[in-house]
Amino acid sequence: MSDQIPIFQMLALLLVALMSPLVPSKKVMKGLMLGVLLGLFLSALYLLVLVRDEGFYLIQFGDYTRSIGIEFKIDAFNTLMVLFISGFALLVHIYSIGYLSHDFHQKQIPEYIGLLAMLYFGMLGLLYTNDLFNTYVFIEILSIATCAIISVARKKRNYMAAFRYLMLNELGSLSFLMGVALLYMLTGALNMTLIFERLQTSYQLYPVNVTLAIGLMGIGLAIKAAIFPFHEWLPDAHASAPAPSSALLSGIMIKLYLLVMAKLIFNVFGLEVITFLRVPFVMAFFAGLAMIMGSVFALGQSDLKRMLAYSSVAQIGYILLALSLMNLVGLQAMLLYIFSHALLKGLLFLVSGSAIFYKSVRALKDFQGFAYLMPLSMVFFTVAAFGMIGIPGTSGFIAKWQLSLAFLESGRGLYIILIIASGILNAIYYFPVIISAFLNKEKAEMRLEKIPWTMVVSTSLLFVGIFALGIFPGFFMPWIELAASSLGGF
Amino acid sequence: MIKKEKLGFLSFTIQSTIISFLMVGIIGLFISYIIDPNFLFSASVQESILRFSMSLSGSYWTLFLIISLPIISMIIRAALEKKSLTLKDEVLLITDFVMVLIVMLLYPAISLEPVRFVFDEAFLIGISFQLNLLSYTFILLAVLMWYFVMMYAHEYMKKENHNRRFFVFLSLSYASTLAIFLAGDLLSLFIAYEALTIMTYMLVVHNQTEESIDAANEYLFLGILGGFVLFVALTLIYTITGSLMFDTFHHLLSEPGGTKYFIVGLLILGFGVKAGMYPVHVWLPKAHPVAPSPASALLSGIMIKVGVFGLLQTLIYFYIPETAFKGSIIGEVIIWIGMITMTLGMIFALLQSNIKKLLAYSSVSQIGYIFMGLGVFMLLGDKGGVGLTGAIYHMVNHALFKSLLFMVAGLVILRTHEKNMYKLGGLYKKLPITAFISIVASLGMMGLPLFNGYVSKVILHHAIVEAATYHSSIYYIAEWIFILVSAGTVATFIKFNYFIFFGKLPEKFKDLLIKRRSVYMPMLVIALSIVFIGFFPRFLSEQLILPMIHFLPLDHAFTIHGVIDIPYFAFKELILISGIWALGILVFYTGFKTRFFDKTIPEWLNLEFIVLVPLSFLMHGLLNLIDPKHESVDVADYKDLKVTNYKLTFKDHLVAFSDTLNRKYEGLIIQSDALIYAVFLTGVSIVMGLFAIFS
Repeated sequence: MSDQIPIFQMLALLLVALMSPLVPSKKVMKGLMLGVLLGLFLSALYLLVLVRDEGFYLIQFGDYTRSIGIEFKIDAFNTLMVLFISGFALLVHIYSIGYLSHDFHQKQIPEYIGLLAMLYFGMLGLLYTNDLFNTYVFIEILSIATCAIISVARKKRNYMAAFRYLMLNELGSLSFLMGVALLYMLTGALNMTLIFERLQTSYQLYPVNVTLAIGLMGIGLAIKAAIFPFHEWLPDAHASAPAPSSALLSGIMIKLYLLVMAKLIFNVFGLEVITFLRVPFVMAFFAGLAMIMGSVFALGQSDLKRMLAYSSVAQIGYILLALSLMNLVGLQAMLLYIFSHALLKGLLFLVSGSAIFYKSVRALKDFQGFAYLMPLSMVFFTVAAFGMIGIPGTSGFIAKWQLSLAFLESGRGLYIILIIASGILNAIYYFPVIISAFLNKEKAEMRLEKIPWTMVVSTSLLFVGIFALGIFPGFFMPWIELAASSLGGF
Repeated sequence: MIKKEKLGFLSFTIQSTIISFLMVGIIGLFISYIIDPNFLFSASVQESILRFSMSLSGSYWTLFLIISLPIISMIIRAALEKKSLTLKDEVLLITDFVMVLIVMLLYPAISLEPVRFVFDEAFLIGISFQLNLLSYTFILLAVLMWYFVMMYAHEYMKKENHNRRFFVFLSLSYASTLAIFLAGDLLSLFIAYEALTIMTYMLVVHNQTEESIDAANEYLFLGILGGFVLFVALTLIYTITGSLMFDTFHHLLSEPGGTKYFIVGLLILGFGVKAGMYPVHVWLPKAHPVAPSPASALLSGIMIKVGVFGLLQTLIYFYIPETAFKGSIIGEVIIWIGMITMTLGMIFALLQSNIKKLLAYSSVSQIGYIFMGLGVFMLLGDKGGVGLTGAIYHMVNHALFKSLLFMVAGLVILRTHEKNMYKLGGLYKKLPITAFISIVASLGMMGLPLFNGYVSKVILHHAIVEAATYHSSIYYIAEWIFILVSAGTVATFIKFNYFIFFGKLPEKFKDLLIKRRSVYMPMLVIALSIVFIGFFPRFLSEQLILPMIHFLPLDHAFTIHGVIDIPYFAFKELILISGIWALGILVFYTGFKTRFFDKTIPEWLNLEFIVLVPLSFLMHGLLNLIDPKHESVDVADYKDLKVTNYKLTFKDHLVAFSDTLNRKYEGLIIQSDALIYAVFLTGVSIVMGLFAIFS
C-alpha cells in the first residue's frame, strides 16, 4: 500500500484540477488545495525515509511489455525533489491565499488553483516517470498549464507573453519528441533503463542517430529551461504572470527541465556516450554564456520583475554549469544550488508581488524610498539579494562555495572566474535597488505594510529557510548526497 | 533645541567624568597586573583572579558574549526609542564597561594558554573562534577605543539625524570587527569581514547626501570585489589543504608551482581593500571623511586595521613551518606596496584642504608603514621579528592617535561648520582643550620623542635597515623613502595644526560660543595613553607584543635585541629625528610661502580617472556601434550619456549599453524565433556530428 503513494499523490492533484470548474466557492477551493499540498508534503517525507531505508523501487502500470509500458521509478532523488516542490508550493499557496484577491477576477480563482494543481501534477509526473514518451506527455501538460497560468490575468501583455511562450515551447516539445522517436528507432524501447542498456552497445554503430537524438532532446529541454540563446520567452512570461506563479515558474519549473536533462544524461545515455560526444563542453560553454549575458541583460532592465527574470536566466547558467561537471560533487552542488536559488528567487518574486499588491509599482524607479513604506518586505528583499550576490550567511554563499569547490576538485578551476564575474554583475544590479529603496528619501514616515498576514508568514518562512540553508547546510547535505548519488548511480 | 537631560541626579557630563576616572583606574590596575602581579595584588587575590579568569576562558559562552554584547546593547538601545538620549547612550556605555571588565579579566588565562572553540555544524566545514595574545591585544584596543568614542558620540550625535540607525549599524560593525579579531580560521574571518563591509556601508552613507552615497557605493563595490577575491583564495586553499584552519597553511608551501604565490597575492589584494592599500585605497579618502566623526574615528582607528590584521594572521601562519617564504618575492612585494602607499598617501595628505580628507590620506600613508613592517617580516624570516613587532606596535599607536585626530576634526567641524582648513585659524583661543589634544595627537603622529609614534617609527626604521643589511642594499633606498615620508608627515601635521588652531582668527568665528561638555574627558584619556606609551616605550612590546609572537619560530634573542635593548633616546636616533623634523618644517615653510599647498592634484593623475575613463570610452564606443543614434534607449533615463566627462559615468554607460543590446537582441530574435532555432539546431548537430566522426 505505502509504495503506491506516488500514484495517490498524483491522483489527488488531478482530482483538484478536475474539480475546479465544479467548486463554486473560492474558499473551499483554497482549503482543498491547502489540504492536498499538506498531504503531499507529508507523504513525500514518508516516502523519502522509506526510499532511504529500502532503496528505489519501480511501479508498473497495466500489463504491457516493459519496453513500451508506463513505469515510475521512485528513488531518493525523485522523492527529495517532490518533497521540496511540495514544501515550496505550500508556502506559495499560503502566500496566494491573501494575494489572489488582488490581481485578477474573483471568479477565476478556482480555475487558477485548478491550473496550479495541473502544474504540480505535471511536475510530479516528470520526476517520477521512467519512460521517455511519458516524459514527453508530462512536458506537454506542464507547457499547457504554464501557458494558461501566464494568461490568467486577462490583459494584453499576458496574452502576448503566453503566445510567445507557446510558440517557442511547442518547438521545444516537438524537438524532444523527435529525439524520443530517434531513440525508439534505434533501441526499440521507451523505457529509460532499457534504452540505457541497449545504447551502451549500439551507439558506436549509429553515432549520427545518437548525436542527433542528443541534439534534439537537448535543445528541446534548453528551450524549456530558458538556457541563454533560447531564453527569449522567459522574461515576458515571468514578468507578466501573477507573483505567486512567477515564484513557482522561476523557483521550480525551469529547473525541472534541467533535472530531466540530468536524468537523460545519467539514466538514458550514460556518461560514456555523453563524454564521447563532448556534450559537457557544449553545456559548459552555454552555461558560461548564460551566466554572463543573463546578468548583462538584467543590468539594463527598468522593470523589477523583468530584472528578476533575467537574473533567473543567469542562475540557470550556474545550475547548468554544475551539471556539466557530470560527477558526484557537481550533482551535489547542482541540487544545493537549485534549492538555494528557489528560496532566494521565490522570496524575491513574492516580495516584489507584495509591492505590486500594496502599491501597484513595478518600475525600478518607483522603488525609491520604498523601504519606508514596506520595511519588512524590503529587508527580506535585501537579504535575498545578498544571497544572489553570495554574501556569507545566506544560502547563496554556501551554494557558490560548493559549486566552486566542485570545480576545483574536478580540476577545472578556471570556471571560478565565471562564477565571480557573474557574482559581481549581480552586485551591480541588485545593490542600486536596495540602496534607492532605503536611502533615496530624506524623511519619510514609517508605515506598516497593509498586506494580508498570510503573505507575511510565507515570506518570513522563506526568509528563515535562506538562513537555515546558509548557516546549517550540514543538516541538509546528507539528503542531497543521497539524492545525487541515486540520480547519478554513483 | 536640545533639552538639558538628566538621569537621576547626575548629568551626563558628570557621570562620564566619573566613569572615565573609574576606567582610568581600572586600566591602571590592569597595567600594574601585567607588569608585575605582585605589585598590587596579594597571592590569594591573584589566585582567585586566575581561577575566575580560567572559568571565563573555559566556556565558549565568553567568546560568544564578546561578539553578541554589542548586538544586545544595540537591541536595548533601539527598544528605548522614546526614552531620553542620555539613558540610551548610557546603555551602550554600561555594556561596553562590562565588556572591558570581561576582556581584562580574561588576561591571566589567555597569557597562560590560548583558547579555541570550534562549531562543527555551521557552514559545512565548521567555523571556529580563538583568543590568543595577538587577537587579545586588538580586542582590548577595540573595546577601549569603542568606549571612549561612544562617550564622544553621545555629544556629537545629538546634532545628527537618523540617530537610532547610526547606533544600530555602529554596534553591528563593532560586533563584526570583534568577530574578525576572534576568528579562528579563514572562513569565520571571511564571514565577519563581509558582514563588516555591509554594516560599515550604512555608516559611510549616513548623511545621505550625494557625496556620501557616491563614496559609500565606491566603498561597497570595492569591498564586495575584495570579498570575491578572498572567496577565490579560500576555495583554492580549501581544495589544496582540505581545511581553512590557519595552522594547516603549511601544506600550501609543499605544493609545487606558482599556486601558492597566486593565493598569497589574492590574500594581499583581498585584505588590502579594507586596509587601504595602494591601488585599492581609492574608497578610503572618500568614505572616511563623509561618515559622522565618531564613525570616522572608529573606521580609521580600528576598522582599517581589520584588513591588516587578516593579512597578518594569514602571513604569520604561512611563515610558521619553515622559512619557506624567506627572501621570497612576497616580502619584497609587500615592502614596495607599503612604500608606494606611504608615499602617495603622504603627498595627497599634504595637498588636502579638507580637514578630514587630510586625516584619511594620512591613514593611507600610515598603513604603508605597517605594510612595510609586515614585508620585512616576510622577507627576513627568522630575523624579521623586529619588522613584525614594529607593524603591530604601529597598528596600536595609529589606532590611538588617528581616532583622536578624527575626534578633534569632528569637534572643529561641529563648532564651526567649516571643513576647509584654509578658512579656519586661530581657534586655540576658542577651543583651547581641543587644540591641546590635537597637538598631543599630532606629536604622536609626527614621531616626537616621548610620544607613542616615535617608538614604533624607530622600530620600523630599524626593521628596514635590517632588511638592507641582511637582504639587499636596495633597501637603503627604501630607508630614504621612509625618512622622507616621515618628514612629509611632520609637514602635514604642522599644516593641520597651523591652519586650524593658529594664525588669524577669521571674522565670523569671533563670537563663537563654546560650551564645555563631556567630549573632552574621553579624548584626554586617549591623549594620556599616547604620552604614556611615549614615556614607557618598552611596556607594550615587552608585555604584549613579544609574548604574542613568541610561538613563532623566530630568532627571539635577535628580536628582543632589536626591540627592547635598543636605546630609544640615544644620540643617533635623536639626530635622525631632528633631521626629519628640520626637513618637515622646511617643507611646510616652503609650501606655506610659495602657496604650494593651494595646488590641487591634476585630475588625470587620479587613479579612478585612469581606470574608468577608458572603460567609459569603450562602453560609449560599443553603444555607438550597435546603436549610433541612441534610438533604442530612452535617453532621458541616462542623462549623462551626452556628457563628455567620462569619469563618473561609467555605470550609466554600462547600463545604457546593456539596455540597448537587450532591446536590439529581443527585437531581432522575435522576428525569427523559428529561423534561429532551425539554424541553431543544424549548427549544433553539425558540430556534434563532426566531433562524433573525428573522435
